[in-house]
Amino acid sequence: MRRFIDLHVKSPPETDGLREMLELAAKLGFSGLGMVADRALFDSAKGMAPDQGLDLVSRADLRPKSPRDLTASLGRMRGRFEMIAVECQSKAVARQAAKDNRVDVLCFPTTVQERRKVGFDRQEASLAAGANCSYEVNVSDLLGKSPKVASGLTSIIREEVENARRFDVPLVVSSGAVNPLLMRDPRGLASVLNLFDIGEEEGLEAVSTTPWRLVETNRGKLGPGYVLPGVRVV
Amino acid sequence: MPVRKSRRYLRIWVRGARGFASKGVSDAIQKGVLSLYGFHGLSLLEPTLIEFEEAEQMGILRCNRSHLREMRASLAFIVNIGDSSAAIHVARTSGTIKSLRSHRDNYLGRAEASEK
Repeated sequence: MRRFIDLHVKSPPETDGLREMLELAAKLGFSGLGMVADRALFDSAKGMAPDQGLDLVSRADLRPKSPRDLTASLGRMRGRFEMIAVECQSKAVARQAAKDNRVDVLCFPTTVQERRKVGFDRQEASLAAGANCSYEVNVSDLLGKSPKVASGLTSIIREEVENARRFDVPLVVSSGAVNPLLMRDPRGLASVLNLFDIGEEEGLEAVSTTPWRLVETNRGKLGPGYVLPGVRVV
Repeated sequence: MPVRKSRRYLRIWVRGARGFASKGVSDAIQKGVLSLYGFHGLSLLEPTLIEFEEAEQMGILRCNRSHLREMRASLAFIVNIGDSSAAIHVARTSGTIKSLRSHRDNYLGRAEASEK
């Protein structure tokens, strides 16, 4: 049986909202949740998650202003979070993030104009494939937008997905929810990939096998004895 | 001899700031399909809300079997019902209404048990 994970959920500021989100995730059929939250809130979520049968993954979303800023943030954060995503605000940051193997997930701006400038192009896809970075589609980026904006974004994301597939960059689909009403069921998330010409099986993998593989690799890296990729103290 | 159309039935579950009426949910589903796939898509998907229990905010939606993914994507894109924020989730799909009705009983039974 497939185990689904929503790799990108932003925690609400209060504990009640957090509990509601965890309960809903379990009810929707997720076994895991990647959560962006401050340390105290994440710890309380970690306490509640086993009651719901959820495996909680700590995630940090970085928004660096420059490549130097990115490198510094990665140095500080990599050992503290199981998942590091970079929201690329400029081409220089996107290039640096795509070639740094400490970055797990690449995200891009949600406005059409900025996305046209900074989007996931072939060069980035080639770099990301070498560094084992994943490309993430956040469904919440498309929700509640006007037809003009939604169609513009859909067209850009379709090109980006095509670049990712051309270079075998792992593809992940997440809700990007900031409240329970933006959370979607796993098969719903996978079906949204239909808009980007992705088949059913590949869509389901983007919400199950691919993100879990990423989480397990990172947990291995954060575990004791890890030195370098392929090198471990036994 | 007329050929029977193949359908798929979805057990849907509506969440929102308030409860919604069947008509509102049905309209939101039609609008959701229309905004994502247009008139042509609407004619292919043929979404029909068969029943909706306002007390439980659960219902059964029928669509064309070969367009189930498009139906799910359209439901995922719904963020409003009328003027209130809402989300429509699919709890289960089936080829028959009967099995969905029995699933509803199990689903609600489980929810009540977990509340206790």
